[in-house]
Amino acid sequence: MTPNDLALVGPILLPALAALLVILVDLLPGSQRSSGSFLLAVLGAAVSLGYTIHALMHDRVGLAFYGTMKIDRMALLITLFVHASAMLSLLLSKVYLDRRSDVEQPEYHAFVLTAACGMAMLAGANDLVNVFLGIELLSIPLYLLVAMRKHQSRSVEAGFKYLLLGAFASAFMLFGAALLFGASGKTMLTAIPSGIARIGNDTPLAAFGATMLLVGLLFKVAAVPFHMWTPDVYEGAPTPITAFMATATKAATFAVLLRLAPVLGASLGEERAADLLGGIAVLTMFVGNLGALTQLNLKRLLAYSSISHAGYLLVGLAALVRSYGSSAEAEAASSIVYYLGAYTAMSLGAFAVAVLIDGGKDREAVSDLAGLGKRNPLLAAAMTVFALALAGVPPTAGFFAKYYVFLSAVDAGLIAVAVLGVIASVIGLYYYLRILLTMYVDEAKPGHEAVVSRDALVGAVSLAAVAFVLLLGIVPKGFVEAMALAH
Amino acid sequence: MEPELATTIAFYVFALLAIASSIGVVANKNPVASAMCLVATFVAVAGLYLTLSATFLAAVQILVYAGAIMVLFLFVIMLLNLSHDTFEGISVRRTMGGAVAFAFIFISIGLLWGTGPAPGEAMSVRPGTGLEIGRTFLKDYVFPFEMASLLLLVAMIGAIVVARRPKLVGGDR
Repeated sequence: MTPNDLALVGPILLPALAALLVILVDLLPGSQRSSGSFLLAVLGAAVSLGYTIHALMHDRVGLAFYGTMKIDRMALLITLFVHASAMLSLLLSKVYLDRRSDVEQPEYHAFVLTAACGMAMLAGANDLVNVFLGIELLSIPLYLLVAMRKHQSRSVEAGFKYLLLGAFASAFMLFGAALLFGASGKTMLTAIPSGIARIGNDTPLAAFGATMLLVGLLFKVAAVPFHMWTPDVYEGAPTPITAFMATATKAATFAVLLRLAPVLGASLGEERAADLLGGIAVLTMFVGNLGALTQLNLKRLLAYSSISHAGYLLVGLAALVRSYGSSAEAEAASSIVYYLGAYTAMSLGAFAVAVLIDGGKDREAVSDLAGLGKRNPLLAAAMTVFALALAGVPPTAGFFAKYYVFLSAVDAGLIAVAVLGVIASVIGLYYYLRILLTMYVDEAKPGHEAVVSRDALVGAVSLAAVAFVLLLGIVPKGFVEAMALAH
Repeated sequence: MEPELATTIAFYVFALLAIASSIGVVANKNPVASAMCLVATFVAVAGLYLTLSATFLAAVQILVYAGAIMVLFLFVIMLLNLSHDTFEGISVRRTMGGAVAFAFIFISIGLLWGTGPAPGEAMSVRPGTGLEIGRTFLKDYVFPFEMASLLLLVAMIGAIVVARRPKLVGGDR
C-alpha cells in the first residue's frame, strides 16, 4: 500500500469519511440533529464529486492495492454519476424530509453516503472479493433507507421484501463467485479468462459460476425475470431514495457487468453469452414498457420505466460481449457508459419533479400532475424534457443513448435484438406522452392540485438536469468520443 | 493407508455429516433442535477445512460459529420463546419451490460430476495457517478487508436504527 493507492481510491474513501463524520458529529452534545447532518452530508458528497472530477480531468488512473482495484476512466466516469446522484438525492431528501417527521435524519444521510461509497468501490472493483463487498456495501444501506419510514407499512414492507430477495441474490452471487474461482484458480477479474482456459475448459463449472454471478447482478439492475421486487420497493421507498436506487445502483452494477464481459465470454462462450443477454434484454424491455402502460402511480410508472431502461442497457452489454476483442468493443462499452450518464440525469430529473409536487401526502398519483402546465409552466417544461428524454425523442440525450446502444447491437450482428428494442421503445412512447397529456390537457380535480414546493435549491437541481439532458443530446458525439477513451 | 485416501474418506464423512445435519436444521420442528443441528453442520464444515489443511480457519470456525454465534442464536430463540411448533405445513407453492430448487441442484451435480480440475490443480494449495491468512488480509486484500469493517459498522448502526424506540424520531433531542 502506498500513498498513491490511497489517492487513487479517494473517490471511494471520501464518502465513507463523510458518513463517519456525520455519525460522529451527531453524537456531540447539543448538536442539531437534522440540519447539521444534512449540511455535512451534502458537503461530503460535493467533495467526493469534486475529487472525482479532478481525478478525471488529470487522468489519475491506474491499478491500486495489488491490482484488486482498477481505477480507469470508465470507473471514474461511473463514480462521477454515482456521486452526482448521491448529492442530488440528498438535496431532494431535504425537501422530502422537511414535510415528514418520521425519519432519523443523521443515519439517513450517513447511509446514503456509505451506499455511494459501495457503488464507487463497485465501479473500480477488479476482484471478485471487491465486487461482492461493493454489492453488499451498497445493498445494506439501501435496505435500511427503503425501510427508513418505519411507521409506514408500505415502507417497511418494501424494505423487508428488498432485504429478503436481495440476500437471496447475494447468496447466488457468492456461490457463483466461488465456482468461478474453482474453475479458474483466480479471483482477479482480468485473470479469470486465462485461468479458465488453463484449467477449466472441459467443464461447465465456469459457465455455472458465471451464470449465478450474473443472476445476482441482474437482480440489482432489475432485469426480467429478476424484476418482481422493483415496483413495490420503488413505490414504498422514500422518493429521493427511489431516485438514488434507480440511477446510481444501475450505474455501479453495469460497471461490474462491463468488466465481467470477457469473463462471461470465456465461461459461457461469446455467442451463447450474447444470446442469453440479448434474450434477457428483449424480455426486460417489453415487460418494463408493457407494465408501465397501466400504472396510475407515478413512482410505479417510473419503476417500470427503469426496468425497461435496464433492458436497453443490456442490449449494449450483449453487443459488448459479442464484439469483445474486435474493433466494435470500445464503441459498445462507451455506448453503455453514455447511456448510464443520460439515464442518471433524466431519471433523477423526473424523480425530482415527483418530489416537488408530492406535498407530503404520499399519493404520487400520475393524475396529480394535471394542470401543472398552467400553474407552474417552468416545472412542467422540465418534466416534458425528462419524459421526452426517457421516451427517447430527439434531440434529447435519451434519443442518442438508445441510438448508440442499438447501433452497437447492429454492428455486433444482433439485428433482431435491436429491431425488437425499437419496437419496445415505440410502445414506451405511449405512457410518457400520457404524462405530457395529463400535465397540459387535463384539469386538476378540486382539492387534488399538486402542492409545488418552492425550494430554490431543488428547482436549480432540476434545471441543471434539464440542461445536462439537452446538452448531452445536442453535442452527443463529443461526449461519446470522450467516453471511448474510457476503455 | 495412503494419506490421500485418508483425506478423501475424511472429506466424504464430513460432507455427508454436513448434508445430513443441514437437512436436520430444516426438517426439525423444534427451533432448539434445529439450532443444535446447525452446530453439527458448522463442526462438519470445520472438518472440511481440516481436510484442506486450513487449520486456523477450522479452529476459528469452531470458536466463532459453533461457539459464539450459536450461543447468540440459542439466546434469541429462548428469549423469543419460539419453542412451540410454528411450522406452517406444506403448501403447493412451497412444494413447487422446493422441487425446482432440488431439480436445479441435482441437474447441476449431474452436469458437473467428474469434470473440472482435480483438487489442488486449481490453485497451489498453501497451508491455511494464521501467518498465511494474516499476510493475505494485510497485503493483497487489505482494501476489501478495511471496507468489510465499514460494512459491519453500517450493519450495526442499521440494526440500532431499526430496533430503536420511535421516541427520538425527527427534530432535536
